Amino acid sequence: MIFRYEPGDSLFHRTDPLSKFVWLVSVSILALRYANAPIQAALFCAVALQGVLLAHLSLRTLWRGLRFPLWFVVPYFVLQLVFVPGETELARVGTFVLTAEALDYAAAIALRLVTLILASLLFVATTDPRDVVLALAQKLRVPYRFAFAISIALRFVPVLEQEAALVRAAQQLRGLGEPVGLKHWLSWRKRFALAVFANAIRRVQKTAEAMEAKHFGAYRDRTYRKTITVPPAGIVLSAISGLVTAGLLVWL
Amino acid sequence: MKRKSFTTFDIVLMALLAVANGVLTNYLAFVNKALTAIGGPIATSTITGIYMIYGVLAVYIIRKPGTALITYLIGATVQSLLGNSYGMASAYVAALCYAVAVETVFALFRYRHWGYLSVVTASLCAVPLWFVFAAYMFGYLKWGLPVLLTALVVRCISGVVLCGLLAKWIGDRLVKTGLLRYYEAGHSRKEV
Repeated sequence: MIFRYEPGDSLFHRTDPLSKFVWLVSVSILALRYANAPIQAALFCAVALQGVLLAHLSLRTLWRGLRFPLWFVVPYFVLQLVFVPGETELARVGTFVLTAEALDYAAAIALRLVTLILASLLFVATTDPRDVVLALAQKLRVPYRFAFAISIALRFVPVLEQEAALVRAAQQLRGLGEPVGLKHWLSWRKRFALAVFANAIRRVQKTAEAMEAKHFGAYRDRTYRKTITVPPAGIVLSAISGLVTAGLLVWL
Repeated sequence: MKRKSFTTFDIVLMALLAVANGVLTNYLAFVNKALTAIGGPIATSTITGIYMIYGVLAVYIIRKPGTALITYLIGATVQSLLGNSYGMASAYVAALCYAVAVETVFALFRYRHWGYLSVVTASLCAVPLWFVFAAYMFGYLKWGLPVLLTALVVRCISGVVLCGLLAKWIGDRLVKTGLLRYYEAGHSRKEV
């Protein structure tokens, strides 16, 4: 888990999940639209600034969320410098020619990936997963049985993670060991996947019967202890996100 | 009369398959990112099939229209909330691309044929649509046509082997264990 929900009292925390999702979609559209390093850098800075000012996330939290993705973004940036063609030579090291076009494109893509991850971090860090489920059921009218599937899934993540670790350890104890070579890796992967999926399915019966014993799904609708409302701040956030996105798409 | 609506068993199964796949791919997270960093689109395409398997497996077990769509969307939501993806945008776009292709293929087979042909075809067809988005998102477009075509071919092979063949193999093994007796694949129905 790279980042997770952290309770707080910022503007983003008080905003409903749907408004934040509109914001996230707007940021994603802008990030995917442009392959230009200066624009991507500005977008990244804007999102980071919103994280600090509007979501009250510390720079340390932002760094913690981006640290792992940077392990592949930075090498991928270097890889793009090598393979993306260009014309304007900036430097030459042996046979490797650094071009302005490659530098601009590689930086744009790297910043795009980081911006997308950062925007997701802002959403996840300020949104209680339970509110996501409630928003799906109450606001988007997703049948509650399907919306609660997400709750079920999140509930079982640590359980299945622990079981997968046990399966792996058990297979090693039985002499299956770590895979060496492609054929062995595929064979090991097959057995491991079967064990993990079988464990998951074993849990389905008990879980589903327990839920049905409590009348889950017996009625078309249900009541909720908490009601998700869209605050004025959420409406303003959605409106500004949409307008700024539309404006930039037209202007730039 | 054949039931087309989803039972609680179906919904819980979809949720847990999505989680199980998330757990499986956790072990691949470092590998995937290393492949992207070192080998670009071709290297990372070798293991993309494993990221699609849970939706195909869910359809194979439950055998009802809409299963793949719901399962992939649950998976994308869970991945996003756990912060394990390349961002929410890629998680949802990938899920929708897979779902559209898989549902379309099984619909063409009228949700009646569950042999290797339908499962492998669905897995194969799930690859190109997401590849187009991924190529744009991750900047593969400037790598040149030979690299893109090679990556697409590698990705299709990965989809066939690590998704189609593996999903069918796992599904058939699970049927033999009796764990699927509540589902269409196990030739049984849960009466409420």
